[in-house]
Amino acid sequence: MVRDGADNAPVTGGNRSGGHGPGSARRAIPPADERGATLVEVVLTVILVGLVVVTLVSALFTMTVTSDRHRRLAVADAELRRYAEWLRARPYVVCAPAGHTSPYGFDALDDPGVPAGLTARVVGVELFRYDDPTEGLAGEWVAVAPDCGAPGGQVDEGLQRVVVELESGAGADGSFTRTVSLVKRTTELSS
Amino acid sequence: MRPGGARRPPARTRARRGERGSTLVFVPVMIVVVAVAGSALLELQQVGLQAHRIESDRRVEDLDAESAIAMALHGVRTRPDWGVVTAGGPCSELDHDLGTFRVGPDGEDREIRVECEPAATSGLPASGAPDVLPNAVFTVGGATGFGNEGHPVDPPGDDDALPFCHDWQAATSNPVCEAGLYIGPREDQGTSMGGVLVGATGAAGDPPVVRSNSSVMIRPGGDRRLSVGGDVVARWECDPEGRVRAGYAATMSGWVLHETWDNAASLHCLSPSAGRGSEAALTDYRRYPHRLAGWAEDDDGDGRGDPSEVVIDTATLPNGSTPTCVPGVTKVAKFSPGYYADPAAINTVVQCSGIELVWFEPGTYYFDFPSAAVPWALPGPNVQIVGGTPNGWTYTTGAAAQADKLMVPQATSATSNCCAALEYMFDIDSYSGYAVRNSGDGTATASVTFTGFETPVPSGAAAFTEVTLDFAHAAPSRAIDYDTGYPRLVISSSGSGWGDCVVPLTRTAAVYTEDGTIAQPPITLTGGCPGTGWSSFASSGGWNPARLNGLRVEYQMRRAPGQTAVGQVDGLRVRVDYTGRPAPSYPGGCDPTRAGVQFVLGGETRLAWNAASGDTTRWIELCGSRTATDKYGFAIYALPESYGRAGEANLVPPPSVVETRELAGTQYPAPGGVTASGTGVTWTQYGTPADPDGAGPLPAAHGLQRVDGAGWRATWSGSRTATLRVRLPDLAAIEPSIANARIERVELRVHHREQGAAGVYSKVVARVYPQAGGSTWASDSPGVPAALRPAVSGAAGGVTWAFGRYDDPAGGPRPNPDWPVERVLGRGNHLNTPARLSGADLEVEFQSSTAAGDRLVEVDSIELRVEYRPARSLRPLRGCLTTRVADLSTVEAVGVDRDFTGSADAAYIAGNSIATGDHQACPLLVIENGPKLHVAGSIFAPTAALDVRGDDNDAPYALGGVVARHVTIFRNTNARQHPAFGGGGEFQRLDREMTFRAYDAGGRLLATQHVVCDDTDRPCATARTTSYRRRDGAP
Repeated sequence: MVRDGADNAPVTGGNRSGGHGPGSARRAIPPADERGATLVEVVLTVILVGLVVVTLVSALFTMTVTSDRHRRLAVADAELRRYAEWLRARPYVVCAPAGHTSPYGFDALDDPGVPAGLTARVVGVELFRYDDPTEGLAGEWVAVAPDCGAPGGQVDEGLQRVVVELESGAGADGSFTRTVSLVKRTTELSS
Repeated sequence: MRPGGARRPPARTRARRGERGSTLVFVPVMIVVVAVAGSALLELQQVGLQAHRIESDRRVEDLDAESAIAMALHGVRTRPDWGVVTAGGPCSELDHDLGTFRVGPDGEDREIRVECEPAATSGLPASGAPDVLPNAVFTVGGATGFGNEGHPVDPPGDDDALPFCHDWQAATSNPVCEAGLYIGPREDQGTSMGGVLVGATGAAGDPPVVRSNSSVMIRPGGDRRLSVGGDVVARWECDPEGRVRAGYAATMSGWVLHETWDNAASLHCLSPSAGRGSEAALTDYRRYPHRLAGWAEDDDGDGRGDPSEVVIDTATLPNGSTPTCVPGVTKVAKFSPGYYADPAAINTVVQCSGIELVWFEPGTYYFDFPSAAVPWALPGPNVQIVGGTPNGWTYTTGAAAQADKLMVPQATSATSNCCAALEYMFDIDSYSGYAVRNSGDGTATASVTFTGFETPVPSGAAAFTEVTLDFAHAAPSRAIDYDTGYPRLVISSSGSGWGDCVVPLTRTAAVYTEDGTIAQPPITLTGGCPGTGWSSFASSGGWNPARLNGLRVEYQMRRAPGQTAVGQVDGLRVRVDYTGRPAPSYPGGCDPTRAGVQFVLGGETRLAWNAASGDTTRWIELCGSRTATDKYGFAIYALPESYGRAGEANLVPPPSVVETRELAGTQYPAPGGVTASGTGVTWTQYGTPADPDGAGPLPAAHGLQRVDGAGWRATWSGSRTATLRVRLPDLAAIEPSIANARIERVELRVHHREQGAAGVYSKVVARVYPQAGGSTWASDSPGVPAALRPAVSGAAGGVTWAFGRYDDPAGGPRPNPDWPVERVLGRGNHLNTPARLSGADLEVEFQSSTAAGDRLVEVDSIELRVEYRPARSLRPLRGCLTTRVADLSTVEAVGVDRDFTGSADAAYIAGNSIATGDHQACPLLVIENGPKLHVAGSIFAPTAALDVRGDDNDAPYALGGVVARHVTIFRNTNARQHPAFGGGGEFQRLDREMTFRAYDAGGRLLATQHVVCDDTDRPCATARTTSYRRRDGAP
């Protein structure tokens, strides 16, 4: 379908050169640049706009999801960092009390206040063993049982590596965990 | 053409605006805009995520850096010597790298490298006080070997730094030479007393308190024990008596270690094949920066003085000034730094009747005594010897205002439920003292009393302007009873008639605690009793010397009923200002934070400060001080011989000057200096003097290459005697420095050859005709073994006969040289002075047998090598310097400088044989039966034995520690237990201050942390972070 550029009436057929004959209605022949391609344009426009809209909506959705994850990650990292600092500031403890699995984080009064939806916990405590305490600082981290095992079986040289894990609650993309480690000394620095 | 005539051209229709199709244009534009916006949003989100990731990684890096620094700091703070700028170990000015630390969760280990840089003053002793030695006691011990002569013919692997135990007896006897540390009595002493050695801090990571390169012997019996607050490391564990015996007589909080080569299963633990001179234990010994005052700094940073940096001019040491003493008149005397070679003159002063104080001004004193038979002897009764900057007194020969004389009580008594002596006490504000336990029913009083102020104010003191009692104690609240005035002091003075002065110790600004020591405000006694009593003080005339010296102070403590209270007296002293002659305190007569003294002992110097019995009225206190060249404050510095070689510490390269002349040369002897004689003998010169080694007429390397085919030739027939005599010129004209020099060694060589059938010559004799009263010497004298006499060459090329050398001219070192014989030329009454050398004649005589036939003798060279030391130059310590063997079960050992010819007093050496038993006369330093010695600094005597058996020495022998070949210690205890050696913690140190830097694997700086350790109480009890910066400096 094309459109008459003069009156916009649709033209479906006929002698388009009849205006040359006597008696025929004198109809102005529209100039070539006034011919309409409107339908094609409209169709294309609709398609493209549709695509754009779909893409845009999809992008917005992705952005929403990603933004949420980003926010949760940021919160989780911040909380993990805060939790790590909280642990660092706590007194140096070697052995977990009975019934606990970690030397740290067992006292509710000292709960660092991790927001709901996040779970922070100590997942590992290792002790540092110097190869030769009288010489250099070389040594290795040795995992120990939380309760330090049998009495006297624990050799603590004053350094701990504490591994902290933070687990997020279920979000749009599910849950995730973040892990950091920190080293504690027997005597903390006072800044 | 237009049909129908002229036709109007069709009107051109103008399109209306808005009728044109432009939608498609806008759509792409919109799409682009939307796409760009969407992309921007996505990008923005990605950037945000990326930023978060980066930030998260940075946080992990931050944690890693903090963790690594925490690990490094933990390591440093538990090692007291780390972080000390001059210690040379990790975190010192020489070593910043602490290594890499694995941090991060397991499986994600990341390596962070940490550097530690100490501040310029980190850990340094405050106010110029010296450092303490790494080991309170380090004994080098003796070992077999050629000793420390550093002679070029010493066998490879021989250690020049080893003391002078050589292997005279090695083939047949025990190779163990001398014990390292010996605790117990001499063989002729009783066994009732005990020796105690209390070590230093004993903190984890401390170096061993006692380190012996030999054995550690603790003789059974009595109360002998080795009490060490740390580790003991001994090289040898020998039975039955050369041993470290933990659990029997040793109480050590640390470890007893025997190093890897220790062969504990055998009786004599060191295998002779272990390799002399390769012992790693000696490494530490060499690491001490043993340098003399005035020597250049250790620029290459190896902790040792550098031979190339030696600047001391041993020939120009200034003479010291020895004071004169008028018996009964002179009260004080003063020595000045310089060179001293006459012990008799020193003894005249220190034993002068009437002398009460001998002061050695700060500076370096060089003692080089000619004979061990005349040592620096025991000072006279009531003589105080102080070396260093006066502490609280002013030197004057008349009366002067003397401020702050510190009187420290020497004796204690305890009553009631009292008193467990703790460590070292009477150092105000120390961390130990007397515990006063008061328990049981009722309100019993426990007390501890202090009397016996030694080093008293002098009898002529007057005008006491201040008498103050300093007192420090700790008392729990249940021992405080204000109603009855406890705790309190009860002060009295013998002979005063004043009665008791009761001074309640009131609660002031201080707080009584269980474990906090309270320094009571000074209690002023100047005008009498500040409490209750002494009503007759003023009317009786107040203070006088006798009343002050007779002070008695009793600390009394009660406790609440049914309670147990433990108080502690931490310290007590009396400060007195008066007018009169100086009367230094002991200890504390000199100030180790200011300029001190260094006694450099060389030659045959010995310090024999042994009293007849129990006279404790004389004492010696020397203060070393930290200097640019001596951080340990070696107040006693016993000079090893030829200590070191290229690349090693070189204390004193022997300043020997070798003069060698040869007969056939054109320069020497002078014309007319050769006398060729012999009835029927014709002497002629032959050949042309050559210079085979190209080193000139007097090459340094002399010897067989001197055989240059030129010399004197004698021919004769039948039985004749041919004599060739050479006269030495005036040596001082050739080498002025030989004037008044000490002749160290004289070596005579003759290269000769005899032609003819065997048996046509009867013998060859060398002779020496000294000048200036010296005795003639001949090689065929009865004292010269046949093996050392010149023999007929019997070879066409001739032979070189040498006398007085270390080596065998025919082939290297001789295992058993007979030094007492061979050193006779330079040490005996022959060529032992420049005067006897100059103009002396050297002669070689050839005697032929009665057999008929022609004789032809050629003398290619007569050489005389003279080693001497210019006047007032230092000699290394030598002679009899040992006292006992390592293993008394066998009593087989040698221990004497092989240069030392005085067989009469050479330990274990009588002629060429071994001796048994102790040799009390031989150690470098003997303290026995009363005289007190306190060195506020360190003692360095790696080639000498120290025998310190002081009776209640009342202070450590050396606060900073001791490095010696051997240490005997015994009877060092009294009520005040204190370290025999060590305890240098009393030298207040500056806090350690360090900057830690953490780097990732790529070398990027992650964090910088500045830490100040509070070392006041214990090593880095608290660590204070003064700044923490990440990466580029952001806090």
